[in-house]
Amino acid sequence: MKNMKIEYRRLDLRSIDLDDTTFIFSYGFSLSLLREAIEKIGIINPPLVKEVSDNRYRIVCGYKRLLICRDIGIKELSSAILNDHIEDRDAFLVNLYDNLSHRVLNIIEKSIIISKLQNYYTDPTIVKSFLPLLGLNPHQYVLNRTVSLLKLDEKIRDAIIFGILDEGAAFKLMNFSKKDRALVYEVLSNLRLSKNKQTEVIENIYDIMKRDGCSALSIFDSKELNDILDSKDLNIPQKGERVRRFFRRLRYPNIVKAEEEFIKMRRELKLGDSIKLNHPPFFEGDRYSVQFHFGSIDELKDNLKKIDSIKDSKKMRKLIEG
Amino acid sequence: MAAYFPKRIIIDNRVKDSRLTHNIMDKLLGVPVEYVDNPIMVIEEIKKKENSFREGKRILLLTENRGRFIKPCPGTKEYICCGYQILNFATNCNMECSYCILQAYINNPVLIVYANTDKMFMELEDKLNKKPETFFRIGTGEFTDSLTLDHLISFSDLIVPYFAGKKNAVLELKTKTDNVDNLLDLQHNGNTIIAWSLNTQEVATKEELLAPSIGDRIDAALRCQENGFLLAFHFDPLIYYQGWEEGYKRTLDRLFAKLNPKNITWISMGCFRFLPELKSIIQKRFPLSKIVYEEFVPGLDGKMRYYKPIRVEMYSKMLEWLKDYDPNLRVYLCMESHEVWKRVFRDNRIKCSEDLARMLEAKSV
Repeated sequence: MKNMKIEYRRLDLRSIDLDDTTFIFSYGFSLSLLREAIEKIGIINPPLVKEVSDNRYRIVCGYKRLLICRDIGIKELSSAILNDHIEDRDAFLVNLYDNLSHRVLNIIEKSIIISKLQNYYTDPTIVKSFLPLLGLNPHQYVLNRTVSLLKLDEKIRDAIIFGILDEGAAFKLMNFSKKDRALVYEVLSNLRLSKNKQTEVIENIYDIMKRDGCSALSIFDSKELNDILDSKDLNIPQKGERVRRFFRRLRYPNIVKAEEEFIKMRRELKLGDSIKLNHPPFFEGDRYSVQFHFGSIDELKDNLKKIDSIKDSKKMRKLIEG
Repeated sequence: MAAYFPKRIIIDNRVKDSRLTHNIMDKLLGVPVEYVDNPIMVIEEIKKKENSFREGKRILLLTENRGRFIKPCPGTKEYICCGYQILNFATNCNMECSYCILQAYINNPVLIVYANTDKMFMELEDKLNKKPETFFRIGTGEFTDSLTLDHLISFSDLIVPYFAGKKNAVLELKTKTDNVDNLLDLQHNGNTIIAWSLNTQEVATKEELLAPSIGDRIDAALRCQENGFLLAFHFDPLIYYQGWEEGYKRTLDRLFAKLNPKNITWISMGCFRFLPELKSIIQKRFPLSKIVYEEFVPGLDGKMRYYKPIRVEMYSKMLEWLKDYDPNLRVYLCMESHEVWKRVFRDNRIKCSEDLARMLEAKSV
């Protein structure tokens, strides 16, 4: 970009094509604060544009400023104009480096940047030279995965950048058909599940659909699920937990049944609150454990007596010895 | 099954004069051959391709094994391992089994033959001679199919007669193919066991693409039996699906209708298990496969396994059916816990890997 020259001139706003986003990657932004600032003090940094034909200009930097100018009725403004020898690739890089220098990009913006860089560079170059700039690991897999986010519906893309849907969970949604994806998202977006739980629920729904050869709609038709979702007695976290358990039971019927039977057996043992009897994770290993707390010798004696009674449980014996 | 022929052969200049290279060059006239100094470049080039697994199978790379040819089976201490030794003469396979662990285990999609067999034999000599009192069970079917390339490289011509002269080792050639022509006239002295990976015909059709049918595998086993070879069978992976019982029973019926249980050295069983990253590979490469949607839990070795009662049920039924054919059949579990062994066999004979190794060595001798 050695030959980059900038000329400053006042331009009629109508000569700048606001629909031409060739060099633009801003996504998920709000104009309100900037608008307030421009209304009070005007535009301090003129937008940067590139002349594409006689008196027609394409935005390089300053997209949001120009949108506000249009909204508030500014007809003419001082602009920085790149000389027309600058190639599109370099003009795009000007905008990229300008943004990188002063703000954090969201993941959708990164995916737009990568997809636009693909117009100018090979994938290996993008992986090596640009992914680290964007704070991404330099692997082809990361490139493919990030670009693929652009295939998601706008609603879901927005949910990612506004923190409603985890990015990892969103990737899992890509496996669904558009219709099923919308349905799953609709339910999830109202439950405020943690990142891991979002991913777990999406994975379970997908696996059930594949296993049973059915659509999301047929799973979501369940009365039990709809009773949870429509319940007036449950708050949102409670609904989220019930929904998660609902899908887990559908996906892993035998494991969930065993877990529930274990809890029932533990309750029947009447061990009290200070003793915790645990099964091996997923019942895979063969090590059970007992944890307990005590604050006095009497409490210790009492706990040991209760623990001793575990060995008399027929259910426990069956669980351990088969 | 149509025999495998590569679309392209790449020969590492370091092995251009090896016996296996000459064998293949005699049999593959007309297939483009390229000589290279740096085979890594070939692998890297294939890895970049969209469908690198499929592309990799079209290329046969002959190179040298710069590491060790013989390694212990990568078992983990959490489960009982048979203590097998792997002879790594080739990597990858031309068949397309959806469940193949190599898709996630090996960072290389190209079909490779390690042609520096002089080094391999030196290693074998060293290993077997250093411990003459130790009995070795050595197999080649861990990172490839033992026989799928045999019509091209005639590896069996080298390895079977070698083991025929050994007193403290047996060789197990593990395959899904019916590619046994080369073997039949070889002198084996009872020291080579030909083993087949068996499944239900439904699993073979849906999940073992490009592999011969179960009937063809059993027929190939029959030919080997007729030529005096000892046999082995591996029901690994056992796949759980609706109708699995009828499916596996039918395979056993077909097997024992033709083969004499007395010629079977051992039969192993192992339920489908996989590295977690294999799931997405199967989903992508085999979208019609449903095998990853059953009830899996993380195993103690980090691999996903069927929920334990499912495994116990499958092994127990298989064992019951096998013992109906011959109560003396030597059946073992591959990579299972002491607890599962106890529940399936209803005894406490096999408590650790050493117990299992002893049991199999007794049978081998």
